[in-house]
Amino acid sequence: MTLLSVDNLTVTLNTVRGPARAVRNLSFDLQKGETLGIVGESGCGKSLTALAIMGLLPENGWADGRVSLAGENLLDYSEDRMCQVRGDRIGMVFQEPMTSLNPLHTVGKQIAEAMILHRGMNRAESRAEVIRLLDLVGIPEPAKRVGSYPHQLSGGQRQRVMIAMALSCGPELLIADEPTTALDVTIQKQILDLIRNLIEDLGMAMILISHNLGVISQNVKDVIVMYGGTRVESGPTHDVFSDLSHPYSQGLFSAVPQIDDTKASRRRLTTIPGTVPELADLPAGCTFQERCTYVTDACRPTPPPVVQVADGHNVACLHIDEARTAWAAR
Amino acid sequence: MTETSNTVVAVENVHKHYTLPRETLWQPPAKVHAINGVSFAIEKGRSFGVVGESGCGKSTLARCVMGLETLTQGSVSFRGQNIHDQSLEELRQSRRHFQMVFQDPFGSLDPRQKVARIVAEPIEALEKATGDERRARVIEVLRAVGLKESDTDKYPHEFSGGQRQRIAIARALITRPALIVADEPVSALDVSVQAQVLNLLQDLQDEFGVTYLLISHDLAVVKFVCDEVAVMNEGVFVERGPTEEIFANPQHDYTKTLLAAVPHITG
Repeated sequence: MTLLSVDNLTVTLNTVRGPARAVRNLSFDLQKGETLGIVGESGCGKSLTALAIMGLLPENGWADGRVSLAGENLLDYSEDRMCQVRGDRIGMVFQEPMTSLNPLHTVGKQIAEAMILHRGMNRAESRAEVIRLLDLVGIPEPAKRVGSYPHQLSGGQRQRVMIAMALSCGPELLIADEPTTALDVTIQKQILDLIRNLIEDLGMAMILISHNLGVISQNVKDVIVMYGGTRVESGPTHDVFSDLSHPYSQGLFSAVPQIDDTKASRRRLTTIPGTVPELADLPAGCTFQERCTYVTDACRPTPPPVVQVADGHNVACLHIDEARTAWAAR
Repeated sequence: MTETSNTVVAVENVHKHYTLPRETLWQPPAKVHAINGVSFAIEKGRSFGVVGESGCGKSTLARCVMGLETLTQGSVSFRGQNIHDQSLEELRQSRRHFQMVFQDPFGSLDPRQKVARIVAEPIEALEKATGDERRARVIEVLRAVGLKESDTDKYPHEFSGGQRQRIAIARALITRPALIVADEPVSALDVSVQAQVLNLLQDLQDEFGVTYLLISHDLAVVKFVCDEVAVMNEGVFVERGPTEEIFANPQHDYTKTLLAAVPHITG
């Protein structure tokens, strides 16, 4: 059953250089209990997509299209109604565990906030629930930690607290935006394992946003690769990574030094020439045209058509055959 | 550690302890043992990588090697000369031979100065070069890092993150140093741009024979750039050796944990 359906979502930001379309005509469906990854570099629109779903776009931005949660378009909701959705039906974990907690309140109070608001619990009831949640996310001695302030916890523990907050009302959908980017690799593994297990146990759906291909490839069932606000490639994670077809996905993959690469170290990495373009300067046609090796004049006027290369595996490119042949021969 | 004439930098049994603010009047203030006895040497034209998680002491080590921190114990010798014995003026003069590239390309360049002045600053401070000479050398290093002559009159905000890191590298290169200490040089950059900067570091090594001390939390980055690698935890090297050996056959439990935690891309 479709839980979240994003249809033709466009996010526009008013910048000093004029309106910039940070997300362009993005559509995807997320079924109940499924996981979706969005991967891309800074400015590709992955975080704005998450914020648009949550109704938390910055003041200079607005969203067009449809974001339906169980059939209702969230973009039509008033701020009051959105407040009832956030934290209750959609939970969110942000990137910075250092800045997204309030330093002046105990973590217990912050986790209880949503339950008092959405579930009408009183302090005593919520306290018991907070302790259960802290235990669930693997914080030792949860009964003592209820009264801790964020500065008394390590970065990994703070991120666990953020997860406890997101889970407090048993949301149907969890949006995790770069949940481990500020953490060390060993802590990152713990947090991702925790999120993955909780998702399975609680039957939630998840959107995991990350710039890290490894994190995405190991934690979600489906993936969307974004560039310049558009979806360039998408499909089941395993199929996409075993058969990368868009020149950008291929370039991104080759540009990452691989730890388990058996080839000798100290060789050149394959790079994508140029840099991520400014949002206000994005070209009309394919957003990747300025950095693409296969670019032709046909790429410039209009966005490339979406082609299905395998079941559920879609690629938006005019030169898929060339790209796939070159990738297979590498 | 055997020092040869080819040794650029030799670090001997370095300890660095910081004293924390006193908490009570009845106890001595607590100390943080950031580095507890680290020794290594880097040969000319080689790259030595230090990996570890936050708080392991790797950035403190970089600062000690640069002479930006005083040592609690031990010595750092640059071409046989202990830089921690030198007077401030001598150290200032020595610094032309070892330069540093910092992590954050947004914080490490003065936003009010033009690129020409930012890049020329080390030679302005250390050498008496004429204006023409200075400009010629700025253009030379900017070309070496893949920037253009016309970029000299721009301000840092006109550049992307990767280009700013190139400017920072150009500033480090302009004194023609023997050693560049790079503390997390690519961790603030996008993946596609990170690869460009990593390739640049290697090209510069091939071209100018620069020696690198590279500090990173990213094992793959260190594996890609370095000949030799040390894994640091709680202020000591728990394991060190040629990069390929460490990654192919890690011995210490901590190294194994660290390697196992890296998310692999599985197709």
